[in-house]
Amino acid sequence: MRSLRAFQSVAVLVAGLLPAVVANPQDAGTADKARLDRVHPSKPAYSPYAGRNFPTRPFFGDTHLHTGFSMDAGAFGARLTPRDAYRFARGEEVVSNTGQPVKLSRPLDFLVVADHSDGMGFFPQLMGGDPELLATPQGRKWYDQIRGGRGGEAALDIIVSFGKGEMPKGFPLPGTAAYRNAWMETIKAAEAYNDPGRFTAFIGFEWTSNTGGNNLHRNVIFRGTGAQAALVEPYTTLAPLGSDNPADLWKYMAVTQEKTGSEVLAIAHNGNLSNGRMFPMVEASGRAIDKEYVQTRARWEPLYEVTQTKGTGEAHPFLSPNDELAAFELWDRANLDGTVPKTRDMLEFEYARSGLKNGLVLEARLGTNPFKFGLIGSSDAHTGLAAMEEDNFFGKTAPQEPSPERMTKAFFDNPKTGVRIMDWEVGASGYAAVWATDNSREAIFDAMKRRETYATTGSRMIVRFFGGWEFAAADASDRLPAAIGYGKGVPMGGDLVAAPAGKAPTFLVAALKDPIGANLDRIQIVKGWVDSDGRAQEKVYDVAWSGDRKPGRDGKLPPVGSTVDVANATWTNTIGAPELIAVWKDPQFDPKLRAFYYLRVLEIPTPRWTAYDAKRFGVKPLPETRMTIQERAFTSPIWYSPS
Amino acid sequence: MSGHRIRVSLQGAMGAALFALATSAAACGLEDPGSISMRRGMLNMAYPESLHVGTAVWQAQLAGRLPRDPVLQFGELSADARSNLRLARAKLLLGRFAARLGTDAGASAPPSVAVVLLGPVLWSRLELDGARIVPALHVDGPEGGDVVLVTDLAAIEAVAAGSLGVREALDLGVMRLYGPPADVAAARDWLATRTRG
Repeated sequence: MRSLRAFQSVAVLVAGLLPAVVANPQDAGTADKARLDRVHPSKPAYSPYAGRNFPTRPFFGDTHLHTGFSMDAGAFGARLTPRDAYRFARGEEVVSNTGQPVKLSRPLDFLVVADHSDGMGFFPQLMGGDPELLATPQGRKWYDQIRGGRGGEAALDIIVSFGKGEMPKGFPLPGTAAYRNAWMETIKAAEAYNDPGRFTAFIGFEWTSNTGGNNLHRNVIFRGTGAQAALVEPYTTLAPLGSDNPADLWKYMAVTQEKTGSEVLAIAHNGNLSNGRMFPMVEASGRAIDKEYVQTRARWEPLYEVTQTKGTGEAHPFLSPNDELAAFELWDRANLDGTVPKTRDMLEFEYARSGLKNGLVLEARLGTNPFKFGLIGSSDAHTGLAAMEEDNFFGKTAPQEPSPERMTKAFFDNPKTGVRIMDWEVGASGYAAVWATDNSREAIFDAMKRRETYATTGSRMIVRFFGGWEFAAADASDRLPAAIGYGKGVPMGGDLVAAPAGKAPTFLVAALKDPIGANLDRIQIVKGWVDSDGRAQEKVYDVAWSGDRKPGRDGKLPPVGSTVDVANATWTNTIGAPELIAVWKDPQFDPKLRAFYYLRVLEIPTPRWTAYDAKRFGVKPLPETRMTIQERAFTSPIWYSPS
Repeated sequence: MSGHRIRVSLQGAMGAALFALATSAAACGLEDPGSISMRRGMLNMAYPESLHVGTAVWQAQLAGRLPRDPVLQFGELSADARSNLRLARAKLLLGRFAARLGTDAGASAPPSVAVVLLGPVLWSRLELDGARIVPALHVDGPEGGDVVLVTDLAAIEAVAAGSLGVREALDLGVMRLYGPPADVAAARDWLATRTRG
């Protein structure tokens, strides 16, 4: 372990992580002569940066943003469109749904507008007075109800009618003109704002399986062009046109790829509201997970959304009692609609760490790991605004945009089950960081597929993670660690296979603070493995940290402390470190056992969005309100297989 | 409809609020806090940019133009207690607001106006009780031909106290009127002449 204090500007520190030699990030595995010859050309250029063709910077974005085209977002008053969403994400100032000027501190690099596929574009269509819809008694009734102040009744009637499959003529179901119009506008918006090299606008949608209130949503992203995406329409959940079964979504994806020539992938929604169904060992039908399931899921779902506004789902204290940092922005009281309270037996099947562990178990049993996913964060905001900075948080829905009351209002409240979530519990999280070779649909998509990604809870810290067999302590002293990382190992998302005799995996880990954010507290490696009895295990190691802290007798590193002035919503970077870098070797490695390793990187405590609200609005928070946060990043794992 | 059917059909992130709405017979969000966001959202659909009123109100509050919400200063209050307090204040201040509009309604026929407070999405109508204008509280919504006044309690409080006129409130954006242009103009003039400004 070693810690480096700030002695250079942030710009220089960023450059320090840039690789210097040629390598191919898709070349996973142990370095050999052929590989090294490729990495180190026989006639090296003077410039350490000439000819490099591997990712040199992470691209930050949001893979999960809704606009007024989503039925629920529209019902909650969102009027921003996909075009507004792209404009905002690429750095323009826009006027929010509540009339507030808003702009990101820095542009994002990419965005997926992922409106719900069911009923896409319905509210703009209805309130725009679509003649076909208003010619029906139902459509007319809803229109009049909303105009007449009984919008709540209308919203309920719309949703119930949808559930019964009793939608009026003109309702945007796949195959209708209205649906086609909404999908084409989604595509056109992405095409209009896609600017390779500067900003990537992906085409996508969210498939919204929610049977029983259990969230099994997936965001589907197209690699290709608008012309390709226009050859199909999004997949929905209601039969006969759609299905609530993920396996049917994967079939749709296979057909779509064949029909369009565009690759597609799906990102599973944060599973914390799935009530134990996101990472199943047994399917909802009661059938045991089989080979077909594991192979199909592994093919189509390379990534998982580990953090978003509705909580962070990396780990849970009940599942990880020795992880004192597991209790972070949890939403663990119920399913999505609050109709079924959570029970502890559900947790194992909806948190990322336990999912990764059970994936190893299934791999041992069935030959394929269905939960071999990389990690990303995204917003799931329903505002058209990917504004996930603590000091610039524009909420989850339009009525939760900044106002004096949002800290004290209920997000939802189900009196029948007693499940209540307050608005203050909504998190200003998160973003996806992708190590792509350039800012284009193709490069970012390809990096997503190889899982060279990490999640952040809103910060833009830079995180590198390489695994191999030969990393040495001196590698952490190099100012170009990425060059060493790609040269001697595999990046996050990669595989290590069949340990050489007598070797244990080594890892080169490095993190830089967000240039305008907080210093770093520590880097941890989370290891999961299946022991010789077939039981999944886990352990968290502190591998790099700021200051001269010493682990206690219990092996735990003392907290970094806090400089947060909650009343004034400020903090200082007088603690923590601007960068951390280390080489770590697994001290308890057994080459016969499957394992995974991922990084968790923590910032020092900073004010949570609630603290900014309290200060700016002069409002007293409810007693239980969290006012500080330790922003963090979670990298995709590196997996080890004995063979 | 059955609860099961609702559970099956709820889509997206907002199912809980819809479910709360489905199981509530409450007339406004103060009685059913879980439904407030949905109620406001639909208001924004029916009356475009009506959510802008809320922003204009807090901006005016921070600028000292409108009184702040005293309930927000009680951090120790439960959410339920806050709702109860707000409901009581809403009833009181809407009564004062109506009283401010005068008792000489017979001199000029009052326009047909429904008032919706954006915070709780609480509807009321201004009605004549003899010569007095009184608020009919907790109505379902506007009636046919009503001009809809979207505002919030702080603006109602200021107008009731005589520190703000309706015309000024409209200029500030803390009140918005919706309806046919001629009806809106008539309602605006009528309200303005009975309040400061």
